Amino acid sequence: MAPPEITALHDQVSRAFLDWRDDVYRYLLTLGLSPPEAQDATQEVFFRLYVALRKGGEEIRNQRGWVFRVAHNLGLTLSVQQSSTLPLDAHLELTLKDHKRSTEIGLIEREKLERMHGALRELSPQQRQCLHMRADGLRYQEIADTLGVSISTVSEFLRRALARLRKAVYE
Amino acid sequence: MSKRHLEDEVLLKLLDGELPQPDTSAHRLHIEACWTCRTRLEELENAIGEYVRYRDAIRPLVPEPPAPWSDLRSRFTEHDRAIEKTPVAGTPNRRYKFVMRPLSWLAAAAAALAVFVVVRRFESVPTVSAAELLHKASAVEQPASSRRRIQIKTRTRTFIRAASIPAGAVLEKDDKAVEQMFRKANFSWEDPLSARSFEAWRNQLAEKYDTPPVIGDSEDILQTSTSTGELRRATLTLRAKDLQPVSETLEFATETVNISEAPDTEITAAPATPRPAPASDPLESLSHRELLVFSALHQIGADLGEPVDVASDGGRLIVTGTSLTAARKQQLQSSLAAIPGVEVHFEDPAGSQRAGSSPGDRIAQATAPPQLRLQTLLAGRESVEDFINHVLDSSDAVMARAHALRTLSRAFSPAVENGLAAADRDILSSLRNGHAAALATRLDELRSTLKPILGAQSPPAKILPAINDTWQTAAEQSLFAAADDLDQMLNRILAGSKSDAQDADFMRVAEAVGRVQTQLDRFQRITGMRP
Repeated sequence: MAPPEITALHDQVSRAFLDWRDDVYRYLLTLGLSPPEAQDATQEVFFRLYVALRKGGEEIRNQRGWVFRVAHNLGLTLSVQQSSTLPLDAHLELTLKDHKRSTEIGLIEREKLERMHGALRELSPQQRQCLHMRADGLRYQEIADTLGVSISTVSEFLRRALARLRKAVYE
Repeated sequence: MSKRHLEDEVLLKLLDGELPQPDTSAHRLHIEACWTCRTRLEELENAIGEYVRYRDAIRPLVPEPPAPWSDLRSRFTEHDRAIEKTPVAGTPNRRYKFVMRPLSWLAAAAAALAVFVVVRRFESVPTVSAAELLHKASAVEQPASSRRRIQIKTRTRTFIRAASIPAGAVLEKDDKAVEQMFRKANFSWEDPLSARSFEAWRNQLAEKYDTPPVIGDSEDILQTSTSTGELRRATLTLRAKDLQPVSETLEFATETVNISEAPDTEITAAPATPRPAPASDPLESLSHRELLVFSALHQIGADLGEPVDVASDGGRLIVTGTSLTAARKQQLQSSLAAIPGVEVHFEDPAGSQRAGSSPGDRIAQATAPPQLRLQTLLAGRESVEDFINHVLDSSDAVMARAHALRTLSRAFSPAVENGLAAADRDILSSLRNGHAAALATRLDELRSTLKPILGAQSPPAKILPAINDTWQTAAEQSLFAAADDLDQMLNRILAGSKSDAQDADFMRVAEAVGRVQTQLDRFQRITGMRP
């Protein structure tokens, strides 16, 4: 029987896994991992969170930010090593164009989505990653830590990205 | 009210609650009073809203995880047991060492789940028309003309051969090893770049996973993966207009083979030549063009510490050369002329003309210290001055390569590299590996020059784990830092005006050389240059 504090740690990380795994999985897909790779990597990230908390040497003030940072680094390493993966962008583009498969999206909306999708593809990878993480609720500091850039760079990435998206949708 | 309008960045931070409280209050007051800023704030909010709606709308289209999520509790328990079994005394970090090897874990997990996962993948991913498209391409495929040639590229070699060869054709020894891999995987070696061969391989797989095909304006891409057999994943690119195969990537268990169409007339193996960028995607084309610039600079040796700077501004690439001779300027201009969107500038700051200093006169610039110990060690084989100049020149050469690698790592971050086309990634690896190999040679030369003072005290390079890092980080943070540290130490010890180097100093040099070697080894393992 495990001591109560260990059981509590199991519960805590399992809860975090349940709450955040979908966000982390989707984020890894945007980095270019295939679905099986993204799923494996997501599980690995939460396992590492457990190991880090269990070890206790590293102070993790913000677990969600930590999880994204580790996922980002692992995702980049894996996507460079497995570079022939079909990117999510291409998959979505195909799906958006495939009218049969995207019937759940209204016809009027589709054109807007396609414009948005095109504008997103023109953003730099960092701009896209910033948008994605911000939409997942991460603060500028957490995004900056994840990407290894300054807070002002994050705000500049976001500003430029939104300016482009605005232009694509409204002009 | 302040009359100055707020910048977009401030408006965005205001929306995101990223401004300090006093600023927030002041800006809110401004916005209440200023219609222009309020309108821009609303536009920004609308753009955020559109993005969020886009994310929600595409959510059902994003592929679901292919297998049920595993219960991590059993892994936690397993980990707890592993810790309990490890003696507490000794090296605490060792206990967690396996955690640093995600790939070995992934491989183990993949093996354990292989059958189950593959079946699930097959069920959950819609098989749009991979099979149909492949069948159609096979049906319209023309028999390969005798003039059609293909380029086959493995990790170690690149060669060009006829697209279709008769069974049992006599092969060179090196080609035989590649042929063996194809045979084991049941993939046609006789006609590898062919939709029919791809289809035949795909059809005989016991289990397979087709990624939905990508239908593009000029190309269609098919990808099939399997967890069994020698060939794990194959990607075939077809020309959209006639569905003829133009390139293919075959990922075998131990090797990746890239096959592409070669021009009919080209009969010898040649290094990949950069192609002009497609104009359709400005971002992709920027990275692509930047790569062409690096490649062109490399060809004229202008990427080895010369004052030539590459920067991007919007869609333009600006190459700035400082204090170059007229002939060098001309050379630089003509080497970059063919790359679109590149501006070449030259700067000649007054009084900074390069004073043709020969490498040999660096020590004469300082008041030479006596260096008595060095004199004894050299024992008349070489003058102290010559020795120091040789050492510093060799160290310069090491630094030039470390610098070139760092520049590449900054220009092509993992994310940028990942966005490059396969052909561009090949060019980037060839530039990178070329510099790393040259660095290795230069380091050997430096070590050999230093022999009189290092003797047998050169410590062996340590083996650092190569996993969980990118080559960019290794080049930027570790290799460059180690080379720079060595270079500065050599300058301080050998060319410093107050120094009279002693054995303890030489020992430190030996250690610094060892550190560069260690970092270089690690870099080469990350890039796959060594096992």
